[in-house]
Amino acid sequence: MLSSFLVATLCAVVLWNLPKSELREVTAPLVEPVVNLTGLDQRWNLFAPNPPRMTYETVARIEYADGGLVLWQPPRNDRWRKWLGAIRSERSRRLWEPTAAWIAEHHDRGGRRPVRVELVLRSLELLPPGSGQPEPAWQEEIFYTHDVPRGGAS
Amino acid sequence: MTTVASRPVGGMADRLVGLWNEFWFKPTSTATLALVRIAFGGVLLAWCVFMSFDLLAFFSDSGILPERVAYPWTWSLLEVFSSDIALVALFGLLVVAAICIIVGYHTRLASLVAFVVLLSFERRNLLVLNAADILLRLFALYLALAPAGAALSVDRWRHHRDRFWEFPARAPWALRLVQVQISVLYLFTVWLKLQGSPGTRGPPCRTPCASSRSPASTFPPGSTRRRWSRTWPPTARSPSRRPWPCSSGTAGPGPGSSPVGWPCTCPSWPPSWSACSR
Repeated sequence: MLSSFLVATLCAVVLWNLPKSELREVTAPLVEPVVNLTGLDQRWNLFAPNPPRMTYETVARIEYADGGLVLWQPPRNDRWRKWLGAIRSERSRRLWEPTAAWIAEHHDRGGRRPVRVELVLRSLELLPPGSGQPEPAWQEEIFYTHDVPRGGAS
Repeated sequence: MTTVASRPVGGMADRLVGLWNEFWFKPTSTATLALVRIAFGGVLLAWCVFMSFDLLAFFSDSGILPERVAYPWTWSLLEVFSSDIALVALFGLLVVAAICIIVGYHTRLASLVAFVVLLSFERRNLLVLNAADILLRLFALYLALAPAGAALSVDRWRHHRDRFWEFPARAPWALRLVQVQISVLYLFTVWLKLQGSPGTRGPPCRTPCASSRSPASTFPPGSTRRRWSRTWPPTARSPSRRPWPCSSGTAGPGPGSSPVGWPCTCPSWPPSWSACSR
């Protein structure tokens, strides 16, 4: 009985962690419900097969009603980096508004009211070590502008 | 003939069964399991401490993700109990569970609670988590299946006070599952890595190296982010008070100007203090 459980668990873990392959695609419909329901799902590619060639940062430019500007940078921890990395793509469009609204809400203090929050994506191409090429410049792009409604930051 | 031919096959099968049983079920000392439990509890408690700063931002309905992204076949207690009070209560439960795991008090139950709460948080907002968070949840699950409170624990003290410092032997199959899970992860990562390029584009350590040139390093020496934020508006809006030479009052084309509309042209963007204050 216990051996059956172990075999089933091993199969689920191995099949779910398989790299992209035909075997994984065939078995995924069977394995996915099991690993998702039981919490056995996990993926950890450790930069495989290739490490990133660009580095990205997302910052926010906050404009206040009195004309002041503040550059918001996320706290330097991995979770904020993960979040801002996840929302930068077009398919995460619906996450831009709540993120900007949250930033506005948390800068609405001391009598100063944010009127606009712009999410800015900064990117830098990573050169191979010792390439001899000049360091590329950071590129910036505003990918979302949030106009804060009057009467509330959110 | 049949009997002669089946002997080696039967012998091989017996050997495999024997190896299987030895690997999963041969009783071994629970000392390792006790150390794993204590270390896991400590890591979980530290996880709670660090997560507490951003708990509402990440997991509350008023945070950065107002609604859970429901992937197929996933569940979360925070879907049922979505108020901020429930969120804080669940988080408190996780802290209590972590302490119980460290001291080994009702270890299985505490591990099960930790697993359910961790899973609920992870399913609520997966986008703020990394692989190590998922590993923490898996450890909680496997600890709930293991006799993790059999040694060096309050449970041991309650039931076998006179033999507290003994480490009873138990079947190690749950600990083996942890080992197999980690091994599978690394094995397939190596496999995946072998299919990639030979790394001529530079190793991942370039990312933190590059990050050292990021805006955080452009604060004036000794200043804090808050102070920089406070001083930004007046210097930006009052040309006479700008600490750096501006070629014009507004961002414009030219080297170093910012396409995002910072109101001052500067050799680099965001304005590097060292570059701009000269």
